[in-house]
Amino acid sequence: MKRRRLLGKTLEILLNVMMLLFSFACIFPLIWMTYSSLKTQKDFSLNIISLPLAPQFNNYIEAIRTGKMHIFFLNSMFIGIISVVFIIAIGFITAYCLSRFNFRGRNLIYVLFLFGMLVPVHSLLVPVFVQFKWLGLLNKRLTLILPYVAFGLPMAIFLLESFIKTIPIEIEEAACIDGSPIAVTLMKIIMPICRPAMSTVLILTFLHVWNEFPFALILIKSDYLKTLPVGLTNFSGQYSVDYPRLMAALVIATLPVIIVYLLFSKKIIQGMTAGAVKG
Amino acid sequence: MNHKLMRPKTEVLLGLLSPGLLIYCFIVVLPLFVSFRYSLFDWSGGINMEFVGLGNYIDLVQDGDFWFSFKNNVMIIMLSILGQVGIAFVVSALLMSKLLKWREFHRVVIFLPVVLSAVVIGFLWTIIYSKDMGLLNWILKALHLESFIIPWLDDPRYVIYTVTIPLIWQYIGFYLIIFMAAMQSIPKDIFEVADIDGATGIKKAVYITLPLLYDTLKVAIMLCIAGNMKVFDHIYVMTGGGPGKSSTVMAQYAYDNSFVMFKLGYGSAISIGILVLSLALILLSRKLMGGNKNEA
Amino acid sequence: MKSNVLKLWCLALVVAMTFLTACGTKNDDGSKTPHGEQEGGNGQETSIELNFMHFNVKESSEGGTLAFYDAMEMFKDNNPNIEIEEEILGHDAYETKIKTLAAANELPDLFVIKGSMVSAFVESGLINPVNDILEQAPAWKDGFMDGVFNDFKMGDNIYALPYSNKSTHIIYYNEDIFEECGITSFPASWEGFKDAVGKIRDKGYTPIALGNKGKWVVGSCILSTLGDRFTGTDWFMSIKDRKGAKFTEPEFVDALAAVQELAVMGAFNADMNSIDNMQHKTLYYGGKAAMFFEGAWAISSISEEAPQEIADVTKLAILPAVEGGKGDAKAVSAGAGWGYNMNAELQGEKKQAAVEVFKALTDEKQAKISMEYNAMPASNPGEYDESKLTPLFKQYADIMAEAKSVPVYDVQLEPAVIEVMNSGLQELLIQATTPEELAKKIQKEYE
Repeated sequence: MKRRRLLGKTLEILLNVMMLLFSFACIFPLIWMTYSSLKTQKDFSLNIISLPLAPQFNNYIEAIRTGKMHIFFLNSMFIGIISVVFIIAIGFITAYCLSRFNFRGRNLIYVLFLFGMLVPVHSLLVPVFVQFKWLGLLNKRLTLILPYVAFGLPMAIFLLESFIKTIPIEIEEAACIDGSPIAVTLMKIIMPICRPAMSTVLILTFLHVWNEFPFALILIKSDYLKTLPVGLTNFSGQYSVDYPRLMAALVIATLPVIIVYLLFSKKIIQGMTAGAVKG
Repeated sequence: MNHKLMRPKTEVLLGLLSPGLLIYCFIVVLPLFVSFRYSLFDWSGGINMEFVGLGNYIDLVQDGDFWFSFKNNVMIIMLSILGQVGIAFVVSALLMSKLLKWREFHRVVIFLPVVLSAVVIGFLWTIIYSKDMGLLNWILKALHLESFIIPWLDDPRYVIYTVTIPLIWQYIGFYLIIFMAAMQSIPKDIFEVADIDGATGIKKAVYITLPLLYDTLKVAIMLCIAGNMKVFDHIYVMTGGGPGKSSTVMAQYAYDNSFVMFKLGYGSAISIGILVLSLALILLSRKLMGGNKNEA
Repeated sequence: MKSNVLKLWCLALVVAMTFLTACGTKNDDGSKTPHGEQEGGNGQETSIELNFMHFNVKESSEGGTLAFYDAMEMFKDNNPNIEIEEEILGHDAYETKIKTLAAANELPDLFVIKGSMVSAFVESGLINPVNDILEQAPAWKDGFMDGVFNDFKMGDNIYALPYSNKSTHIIYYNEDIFEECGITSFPASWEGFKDAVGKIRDKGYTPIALGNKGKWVVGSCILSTLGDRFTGTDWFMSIKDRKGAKFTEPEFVDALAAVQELAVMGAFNADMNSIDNMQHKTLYYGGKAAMFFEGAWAISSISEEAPQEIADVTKLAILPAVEGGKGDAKAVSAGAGWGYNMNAELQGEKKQAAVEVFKALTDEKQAKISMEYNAMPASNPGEYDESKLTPLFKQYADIMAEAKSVPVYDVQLEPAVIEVMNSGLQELLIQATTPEELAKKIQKEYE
């Protein structure tokens, strides 16, 4: 018995050490990116891993002044928030219908949404461009929301659908017998239970929208409407890339996603502590 | 789970589904048809299109490079299901258990690689694999395992494995938060009962968590297949698909054909090919995992 | 109650739609429409609007980019009636976008194209030859240097106006390392060069730092010149004009074999296919490599990035003569690479305005500015301030004054052939294919 406990203790320590190593490997790139953003181009090309000799905060100033990162940043924020709201609202309702009701064409719709996750985005660039051109939707403030919502939906639907399926249906039946309309049941009963899954969807779709590049490149022309990923290409000249400045811009571009994650990943766990899941 | 009791009228259902479907059809389905139409032409952009029927598809079936890149994708998918989904599952189970310290810290940190740009990932891993100043070779030397040192990213036999490792590492966090969310729906008292009965962490994971997470696991595997059929950027920044074509994946092959070689018709055919193959793989995985009565 | 849901959705949709259209129109009013037909006559002076897509990113410190903006500013000051709306993208993003726009038949008014895009754009009727424009302004036309139009020629038609003229092949070498290995002057023959590579390798240095991850470095910076040493330029012209030459001819196969021979004898670093051209310079800057092959653009990298002690001992050279080869020993692969053209649909005063823009970007005045920024222009610069040239750039200018420009493979061939050749070269370097096999593969794609 004693030996077993000792063995268990050793295992526990080993496990903890391994996890710590792994976590360190996960956080190091971020640290590297941050200190690289303070180097000069010369330092960076001489030794890619070393610490900056004299921190160059100038890189950040330049990234904003010439790189116009603040404009791209606000555009990305605007597009990101609206898209995520739409994705969650539409995704939630669609997922609910797909998981709770069996109707003709359900499987067809399911497979249709599957397509969206499988099709290589580059093959849709030309057709989507032509379509948007034809409808006069190119280069508008809200242009990008359409493709972002459409491509965000499949993952939102699949994740929420699988989650809703695990919720006992009796709750809704009881509500239905009590005469509660479906909209109220959805908002008051199902939605709160789905909060952990919704936070997950929110984090992942925000990440996807925030980093999306091909559509942002093709559908937007004006500098005042461009989003961050396209703005980041401004740091690559024809033969050389200004890496430290790119890293500075990347730090600016990465922060919001981390903040969104920190805010909403709490929500994923809160479900557990609040014990709200029990029917 | 068909509930007559709550089943709304068809028009209500249609009303609920239509906004999503409309946007979706406009952005994805319609262009997909157009793309399919392109794939029937010999076309390099502009107005001159020559109808070739299924000619592009006949070429595609016989295109060794295409099947080679498909093989690469399949390899990446298999490694990723084991690596990404598997490790994420284990880690999420660990994070639920009391064995681990600083759980909050781990949970936050493991997700961080997911948000990083492919450029940063590419840089760091080329440094890790680098011949002279690489971390990996340094460790091997320190352990006196010099004979294991190979040109990690330059040997066509191994390159597909070496480019998959960063991919696995980066996306563990992605699946982790999916599992964490799903685990919240497991009533806590189940764990408590298990504790009283003396079930250890591993048994808990296998007998309690796994069955309850089965649906989520299926979705995760589906996302994993779908995501890895489309990988491109990460491998591109590390090897550019080389040496030769040895680490070229299907998405890059389609991109190269359409946008580098200007064969837009053939590029579209490759994309449709990717779609069909992905669909087949997903259906296959569903079959293997025991399809749900409710699903396609 | 259930129909309420329907109503709710309808309402939401209507709100969303109004929002969308409202924002859309607001935006239209705010920014100028690219095709300004509806406008004009509002009491204001009629102005001509052109949109111009290019990859001269403002963040760059490359000489050509700086020269571009000087010229653009001057042009805008002198022509207040011509409004130029620029769309600026990073180089790679630009290539993706211009190709997508070309496929959708929606090119901007003015743009930059690469030599290898010409044939596809012409076939699709997207661009017109610029011959007539050039004929109308003989002084401008005569200002262009010899051969700079070659990258954009199909038959007698010229399809773009070049603004720079760069050699893609320069050997940057560290004189100290050469001396340390007992090589007193840069080898004058191919055998001598290989001999030198062997000596440097034996001393423990990497003879040639090579970062071929982008796949173009070997094709552009080594093979285009080395190939010409073996085959001569006539062979390539015959290939380009489809007059019967083949990639499987022994001279070209020999050239491929020569590249492979270098790789086999350990001339390159082992990770040549997984590092890029920035990282190969890092090897050189660290004093671990004796040479690297790159185009003229790397001159400014040396002066900006290299440690002083390395920059001081860096000298330039070109590949020596190859015994028995058909090519000229002074040949250097060079060309304009990219050039300006306009949308084929541009007419009347817009077309005239476009010509004025292009003149400003390629004339003698612009050439002088370029030269003083250490970027080789496509036109003769006339008199310029030599004190503004860096020593390395002066050396380069001297080499080029004697050299004969020959085609750069990956600018003049069709994109599909280039892709096969460049991927194949990577395999060749790691001995995954033989010169003969590769030549056959290229020939197959070419046919």
